[in-house]
Amino acid sequence: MTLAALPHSSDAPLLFIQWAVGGIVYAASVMFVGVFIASHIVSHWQNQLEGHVTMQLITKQGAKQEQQKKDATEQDKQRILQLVRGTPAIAQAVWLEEEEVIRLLQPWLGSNIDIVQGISLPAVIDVTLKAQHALDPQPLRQTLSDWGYTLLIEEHNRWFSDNFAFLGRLKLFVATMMLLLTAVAALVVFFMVRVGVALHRETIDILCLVGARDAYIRKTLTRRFSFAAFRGGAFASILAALTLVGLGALHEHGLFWFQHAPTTEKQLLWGMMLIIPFIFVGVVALVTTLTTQRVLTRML
Amino acid sequence: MVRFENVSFGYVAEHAILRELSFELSVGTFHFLTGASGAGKSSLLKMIYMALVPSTGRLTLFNRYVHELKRHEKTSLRRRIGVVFQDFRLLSHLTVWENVALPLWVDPSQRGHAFEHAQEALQWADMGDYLERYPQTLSGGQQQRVAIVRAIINKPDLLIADEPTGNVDDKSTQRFFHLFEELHKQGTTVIVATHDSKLLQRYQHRILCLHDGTLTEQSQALFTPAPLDEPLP
Ligand SMILES: Nc1ncnc2c1ncn2[C@@H]1O[C@H](COP(=O)(O)OP(=O)(O)O)[C@@H](O)[C@H]1O
Ligand SMILES: [Mg+2]
Repeated sequence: MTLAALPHSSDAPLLFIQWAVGGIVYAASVMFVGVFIASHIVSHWQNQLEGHVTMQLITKQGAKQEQQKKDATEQDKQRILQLVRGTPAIAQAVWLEEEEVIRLLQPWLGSNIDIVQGISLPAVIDVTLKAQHALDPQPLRQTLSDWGYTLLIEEHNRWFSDNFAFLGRLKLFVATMMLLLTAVAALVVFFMVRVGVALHRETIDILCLVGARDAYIRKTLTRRFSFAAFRGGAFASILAALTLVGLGALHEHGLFWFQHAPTTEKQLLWGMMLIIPFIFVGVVALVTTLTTQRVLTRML
Repeated sequence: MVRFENVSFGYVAEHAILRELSFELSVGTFHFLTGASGAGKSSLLKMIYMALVPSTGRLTLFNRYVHELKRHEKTSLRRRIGVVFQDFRLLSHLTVWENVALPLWVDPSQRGHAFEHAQEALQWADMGDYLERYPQTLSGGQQQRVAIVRAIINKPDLLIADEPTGNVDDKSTQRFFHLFEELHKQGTTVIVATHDSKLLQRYQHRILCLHDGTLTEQSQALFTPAPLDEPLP
């Protein structure tokens, strides 16, 4: 047989804890997953593009580019590719076909082919750099200039370093928010425990008078508050998971961030989502224990 | 067992309702505490079960100064004290059975047999048919019986009863006093607050009389509220 030392009747502070922790866990989960996905997407791009530069060749002497490109013979292509490949820091160079160039331009121009066809396309070479080699573009630029081309080199790393800085700030922001939410959770629990103790004052007094130790009362209250927090947290976690799956489904490619994510990262993501409610349940348990002890010490 | 030395107490600082009380309840004694309503009987008993702290003076329980006790030590002493509260103080969310089992339940060394003992005690008190009932569904007399059974369930060394028979009939009163006497014979120190002069006459015990914030002792069984020649040392 067991005995519930405190009444189970619908307990306002318990309900409050349950919904407060629920809301907090939901916000924390969605924020956390958002940053996780953003950082994953950026690092995915980065892996693909780090060590890559795009070279654009523009024909000099004011001639129409479209014409020039179409005129560029297979022989010219091979000559230029050989030159580029012969540069010390370059590992690989690929002449991008017209369709490929259109595909790269799509994010800026949309998929309206007519527009794309209406403008002149530059000659584009996708270049992979050797690791730990700095590219000195000067001799290359000089030779190509002699052949009648202006060389534009687009470095992706600079763009990415900006994005990484932004991502770093975003992570810091989320970490701050998590701390803030934890503090809010702790504060809510602190006040609710006091309300709860006041509500059950008579019961707790009698428990003391019949010889219950502080630890027993503390454990009873902590178990209750933690359980309420767990209920709210578990509910919020499920809701957060559904939200994210729903957002994924809204995206035209389905669960977009999962397409390229390695299994270990997916496991890490879901693992973290599982852990978040327990973090807050832990906070609730700890604060309940400490607060109860504080309040009890001032009682009988 | 219990010693008051110049103990004063007041709910508000300026107004002491108990003044400079000095008396002792020796181990194994049986005392009545009497006095008019509002004289401070309940307040005095509350100090003994450590629900109130003396404003001044020194209170000794089980040879320990109460003001020097740590919280866990107070708990240990409370486990040796049984209290019948004037207003019963049964927990309304617990059944009769659970209420009586509670003092055993909160003590890990006694938890195992809490419900078994509670059942036996309630059956002895003719409350065997009410085990699963909630206190608020019982009559005042029945609630009082439950309160008494809860107070004696762990065979206390000190039994404090605050008007324990105000609501029970004569037959039950006799039964409970028989039980109190039984516990007394086995060594329990008993103090019973009452203003029922019939009880004072029927049971021959020492009488402490509270009047105007001071205490006088009357060893004569016949209760007359005449003050004693000199107060206790
Ligand atoms: N919690 C309290 N706060 C303030 N005054 C109280 C409180 N409890 C009792 N009193 C006052 O203390 C006096 C003694 O009360 P009490 O000890 O209950 O007397 P008795 O039990 O002899 O009837 C009464 O005047 C009562 O009004
Ligand atoms: Mg009283």
